[in-house]
Amino acid sequence: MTTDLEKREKQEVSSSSAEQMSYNGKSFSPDVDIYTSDDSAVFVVDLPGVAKGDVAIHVDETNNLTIKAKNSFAEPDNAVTRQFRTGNYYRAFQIPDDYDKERIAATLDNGVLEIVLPVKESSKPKKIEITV
Amino acid sequence: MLWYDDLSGELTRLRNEMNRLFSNYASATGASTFPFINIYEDRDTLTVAAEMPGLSREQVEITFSEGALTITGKRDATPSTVSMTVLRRERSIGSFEKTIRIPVKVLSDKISAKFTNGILTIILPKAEESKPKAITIETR
Repeated sequence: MTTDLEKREKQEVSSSSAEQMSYNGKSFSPDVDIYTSDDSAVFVVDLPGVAKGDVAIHVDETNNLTIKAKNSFAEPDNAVTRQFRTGNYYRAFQIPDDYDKERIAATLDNGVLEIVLPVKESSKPKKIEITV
Repeated sequence: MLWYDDLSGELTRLRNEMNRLFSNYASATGASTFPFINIYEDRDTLTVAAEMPGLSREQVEITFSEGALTITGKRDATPSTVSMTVLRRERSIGSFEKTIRIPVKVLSDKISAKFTNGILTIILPKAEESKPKAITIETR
């Protein structure tokens, strides 16, 4: 199954090395916030050092959402103080069935990735009006 | 509704946290709060890099005074999520101020900074007196 998002990302990263990257090496787990409402779920992911087009998001048949990103921060040599390490990012989540995987949208701004998963129409809470 | 993180991801995250804790412990910049900072040194410059995803140039103020570099700013919550229910919160938001003592003399009017993909990089050129000098060994 290929989602629209996947197709778009594949085009975007075709010129970069995100697709050929090996994630077996050094990769880091980014900080993530998750928000929900009746209409959607939003993932906000901190990806400092990641440029547009260097993020690959996939949802497979088992509802496994994976986020991979390439960090292109050009780190100088000779660190004298180090609080953060630089490397590629990887994180995976299992998402419930109520979400429409065909309509996932994502944006990347200043190193923050926002993924919006819309709730399937059939899974939305229904308003039932009773006239007495 | 359940959200599972894959286990290996959780372990990696834990390891990262441990690394951060221990690297902070030994660092010269003090408290381990947002943003995380790296400092690099070569012969001519000191480079300070700060991880500030979500911030842009206009939201950060940098000052240099009496050998101390201060970075202040505020990271806001993502606007589209304000009215939503929080399911998981790992990212820190709010105001921050970070001061880094610069132990060498730098040319304060030549300090430059740039913001790329959520990483702030500040370059401090060293004053001539702070650069390493080659010492010639005289022949007798």
